[in-house]
Amino acid sequence: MSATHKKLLLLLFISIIFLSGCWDRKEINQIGFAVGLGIDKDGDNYQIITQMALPSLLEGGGGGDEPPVWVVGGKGRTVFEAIRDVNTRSARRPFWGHLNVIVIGEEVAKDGLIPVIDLLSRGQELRRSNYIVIAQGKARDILEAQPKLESINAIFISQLIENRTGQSVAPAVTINDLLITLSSSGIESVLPRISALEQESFLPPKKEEGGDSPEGEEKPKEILELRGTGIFKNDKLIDWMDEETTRGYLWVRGQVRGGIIVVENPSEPGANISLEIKSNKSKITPRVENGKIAIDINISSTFNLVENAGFVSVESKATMQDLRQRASEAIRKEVNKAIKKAQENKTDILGLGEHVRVQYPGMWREIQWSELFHTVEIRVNTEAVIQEAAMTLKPVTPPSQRSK
Amino acid sequence: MVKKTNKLTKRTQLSKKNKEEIKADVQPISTDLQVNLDNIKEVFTKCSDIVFREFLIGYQAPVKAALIYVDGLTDKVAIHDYILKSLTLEARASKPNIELNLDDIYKWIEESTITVAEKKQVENLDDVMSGFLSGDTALLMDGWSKALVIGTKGWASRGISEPDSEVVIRGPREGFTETVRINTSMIRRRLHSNKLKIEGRKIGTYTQTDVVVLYMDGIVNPKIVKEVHKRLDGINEVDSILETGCIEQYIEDHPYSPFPQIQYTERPDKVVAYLLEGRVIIMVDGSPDCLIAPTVFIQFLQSPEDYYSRILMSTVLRWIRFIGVFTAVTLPALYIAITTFHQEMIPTNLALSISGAREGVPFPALIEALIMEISLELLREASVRLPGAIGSTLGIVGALIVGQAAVEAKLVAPQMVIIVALTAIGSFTVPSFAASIPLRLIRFPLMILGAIFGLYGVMLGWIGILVHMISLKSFGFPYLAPLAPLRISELKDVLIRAPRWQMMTAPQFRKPTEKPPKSFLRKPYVKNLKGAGKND
Amino acid sequence: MIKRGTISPRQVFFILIMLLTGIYILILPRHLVTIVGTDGWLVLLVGGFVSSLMLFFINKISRKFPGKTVVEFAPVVMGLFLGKLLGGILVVYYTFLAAVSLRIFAEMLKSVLLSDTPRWVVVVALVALITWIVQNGLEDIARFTELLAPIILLLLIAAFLGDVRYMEAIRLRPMFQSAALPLLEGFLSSLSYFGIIIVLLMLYPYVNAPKKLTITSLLALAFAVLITIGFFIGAVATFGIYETGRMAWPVIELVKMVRVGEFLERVESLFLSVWLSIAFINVSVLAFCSVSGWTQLINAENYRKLTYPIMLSLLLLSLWPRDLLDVLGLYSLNFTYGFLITLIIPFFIFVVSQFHKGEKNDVSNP
Repeated sequence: MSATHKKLLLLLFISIIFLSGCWDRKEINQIGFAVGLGIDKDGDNYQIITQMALPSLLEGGGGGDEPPVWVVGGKGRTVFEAIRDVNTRSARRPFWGHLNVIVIGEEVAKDGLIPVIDLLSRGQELRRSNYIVIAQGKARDILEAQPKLESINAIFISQLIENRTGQSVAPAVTINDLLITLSSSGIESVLPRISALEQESFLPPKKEEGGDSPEGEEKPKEILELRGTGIFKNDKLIDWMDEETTRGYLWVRGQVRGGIIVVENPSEPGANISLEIKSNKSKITPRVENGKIAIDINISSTFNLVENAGFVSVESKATMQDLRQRASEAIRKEVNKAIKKAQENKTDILGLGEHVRVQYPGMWREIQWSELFHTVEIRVNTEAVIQEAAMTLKPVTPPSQRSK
Repeated sequence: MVKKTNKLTKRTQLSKKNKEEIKADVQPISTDLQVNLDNIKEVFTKCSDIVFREFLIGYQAPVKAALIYVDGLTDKVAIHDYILKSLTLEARASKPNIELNLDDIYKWIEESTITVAEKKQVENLDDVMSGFLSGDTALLMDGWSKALVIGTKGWASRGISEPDSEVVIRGPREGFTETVRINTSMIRRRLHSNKLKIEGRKIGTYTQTDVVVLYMDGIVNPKIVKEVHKRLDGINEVDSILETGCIEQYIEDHPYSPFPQIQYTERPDKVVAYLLEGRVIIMVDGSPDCLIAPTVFIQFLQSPEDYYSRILMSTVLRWIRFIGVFTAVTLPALYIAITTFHQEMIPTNLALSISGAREGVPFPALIEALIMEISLELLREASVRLPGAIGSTLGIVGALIVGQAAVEAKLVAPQMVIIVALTAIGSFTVPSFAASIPLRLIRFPLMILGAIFGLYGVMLGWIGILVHMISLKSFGFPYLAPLAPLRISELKDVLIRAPRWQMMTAPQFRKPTEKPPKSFLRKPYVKNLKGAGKND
Repeated sequence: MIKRGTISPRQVFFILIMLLTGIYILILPRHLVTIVGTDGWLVLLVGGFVSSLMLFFINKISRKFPGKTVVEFAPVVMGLFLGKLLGGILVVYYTFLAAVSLRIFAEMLKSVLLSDTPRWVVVVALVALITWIVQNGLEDIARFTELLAPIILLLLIAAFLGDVRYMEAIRLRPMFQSAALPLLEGFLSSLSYFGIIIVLLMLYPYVNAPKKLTITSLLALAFAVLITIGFFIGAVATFGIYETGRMAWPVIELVKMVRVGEFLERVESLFLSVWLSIAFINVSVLAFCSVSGWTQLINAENYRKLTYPIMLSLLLLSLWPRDLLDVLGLYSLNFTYGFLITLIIPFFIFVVSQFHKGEKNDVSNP
């Protein structure tokens, strides 16, 4: 390559640099970090609640009472219009790349998710792995609550979702999961429920503090709780599941990652034993019997014995066997609750239809699953394995109770 | 290749003309001593350092003779004791047993009286002059149409000291000096082999600089030696060679490239290692640096210490250097690209803290980075020029005080100071200064590209760098070898530093047919022991 | 004329893999899912097998005329007119592929990364670099590929592994549900997709050990089939067939999901830079084939001078379609009819060359 050609190319390259206006450039301190997004309904309009982080307040180390977030709203006939409406009130362009959580108001969910979710799936800045939750009541209450530990409440919520493993009382659903369940046949969507509560609902209020705060002034709520599940038919919220039913649902989906089951000590009536769930597997097998579909659900799980509130040890083989029986019974009870809930609502949140579709694709084309689901016979087999008795083998026993 | 030579001759054409004019008149040595002396004196008018010493040899029929030397370039003791004394006092005392005719007298003087080891007969005045100009002593005798140039080189030179630019923790502390003979002696001392060839030549119309080409016969690929000589022939007629850097510019393949295609070193141990790898070394009198040809880029990231210290350590150190290079070239560009284009890549908390720290900084990230990087380069250049102690003080003042003040004045964000400091540290990990300069400069265009296109721009920049480096050649050898073209067997000295006993296959520079001799098949001591145990 | 016999089979291996898994994989899963649903992997597998047949023809005829590219030996075999015509079709095809690759990459970049940057700026910057390396010749392209391809492949595999946790096997089922006609269409698509291996016809004389090329090219094809199937399955298992069919860039969406540890999310910008090198290699190789093809077609003396007009027309060609839908429409032409060029031409030349003596003896192979 001759030198002149090289120079020509170099010139071309340099000219690009000077012609350019740095089109996509946005300085990091000129964008507003939208960390949380809430969607509510206000009559026919959508109401957007954007939670923007205030980096200048964060930098100070969180001093002062003011939380380092700014909640700003927008209104519009479509979600996108509402989001653009936010821009008119924000000096910095909202940047959605750091969105931590999307909170959908109960009312919006009841009217249908499709108009909301479409935008979320298209957004260039949004990530498909974002968590999405459903608020009990207004999304606004959730985003305006001021929980402790994390100064930004959207981050608090997303960590709450990630740490759900402790109890398995709510599923974790990302935009991707939601989009898939919305578009697939044979499975319906669920979303975890979040609710904002008063401190007082868990800790009884101290008596003398009652007089301090003047009546009527509303304090932001301090507690956010992730518990229970909203169940959908197509894209509309139709019912809630409580935490036990939710765990029943999670057992079937094979998503139980933790939590406690309390059973009675077989050899000591009245004394409870806590079993910690370690793992969970589920196998769904659809069968066609006499032209009718029946479904077997096999759930196996392992437990750790973590607490024995009674005096009698459970070391013996027979007692353990009995204990396993009780544990699997407890699981079955929860699962049946979930199945009952789903069938009552005629919505296949358990994804059983998917298995039918995969196993009997020919038959699938002929049936109307949503009409059929609530009549299908579902058999549940559960199995529990208790692995180890934590660190100590025997319960704490006062001398008077010891057998001599 | 044809094109290449054209280029080379083009670069040297101008000086060729000059040389032809000068070369036209070769003066023969006259039999009349006085004529010769007059001629020389005429050429060297107003040269106060040239000493002419006329004297007589023998006393029955004394022969007129003259010594010519340059004061300061010669070893005076040698001239006094072994030339003048021998020729005057001792020649008178000793009696040749044969009757001498005139010719035999000169022969007798040359062979039997002078007690200096090095001597050379020359037949024209130009050789006489270049002889004494290079520090030897010329002996002219009346009635003889030849002259003797007697080796009396000896001038004040710097002692052997540790090379400052290539410091190692482990390894010899010797560095080359400005005298080429001392340098070759240091090589010969390490390499007692008859295969070590040291070819000399003089380059530079005015300077007549000694240039020495070293290589290991039988190991080196003869093509390289030929190519080196061809290129040196091409510059035979330049005016002056003051340093190896001058030669480097004339003979390298791509003078406009930012990357050096010939490595230089001051370390004799490094030179010996490269000689044994089959490379050609060029030394120049008056310069402590010698050139290594051909050179591949990866050499600049290798330090002689790698081969002396332990296997694991040197492999890790090598990777640290790779990271250092990557940091020095790309880190500021990456920072600009990510903070102005891809904020979603940064973890949320970090993004918020960067954003908070940049609150109130008036410049875009690119300008902020340019300010800091340029002031860093200023500092570095300033501290190189200053004497050692002040230099390091300046570094501290610059780095700590200016950086701190700039952050407090909200000129730059503290993160940028970290980035710039890391860049500087990264560029210092490159063992070779010559290679660290282009690496430092490349980051500026990368930063601009990063500010225009984000990561796409940074990657475009990298692709551009790679395309350029791949197209480079050093004496016909691809510059990025053994990475591109990939030679897997040679990667063991690139990605890792394999144990010495595994580095047996011939590097690419060796003569194609040459297999490593049996003695190269080494084993660690422990393995030998194990083998012995089995036999017993 | 460019020096022949300068690149190694290993370099060809990497070039072929880069071409086969390069730019078109961005749109392949969506295309296949809309035709055959979950059976895309099957179609790819069969397509890969049949493509090895294509490789067989390519290797056979190229070995019969050592030291010559298809553009040079086609007139010898087929007669001047027909030979030049076939050569011309191939060269135009290379140019077309290069232009479309360029545009697809630019579209992808625009929709994922640089939404406000004008398209032409992105393309011109890339084309300038490509012109440079095409000027430097195939040897440099091969070295560049050899240097970066292993890293690219490792990163691609890492991206796949990073997504495994989102994948669910049930989304891949039920299998074997497609009717015969869609299956055929999908099969032809995958055949056309792998048909890009036809660049081998132009690369052959530049290889220094042509005998090894049969194995090398087969290996490259096998590897590429594996990677392609991997990404198809990855996309479908992560998003399900409905979502995959809805996405413009399923593979990019896949990459978007990758998280490095718990702290580095959204590494897609990084992967897009990887795709830049893939695009660079792809377009460089295709542009080289195009430029050297044109040179040989019109018996031009100077390869370098021809680079500029061809790169310019390539640039204009790539900027010609109005939007992404146009590009995809254009490329679906290739998905449907590409096999006509990539399978039939080598086969045709092969059959005719059976009646031809060949030049094994008169040309000494470097």
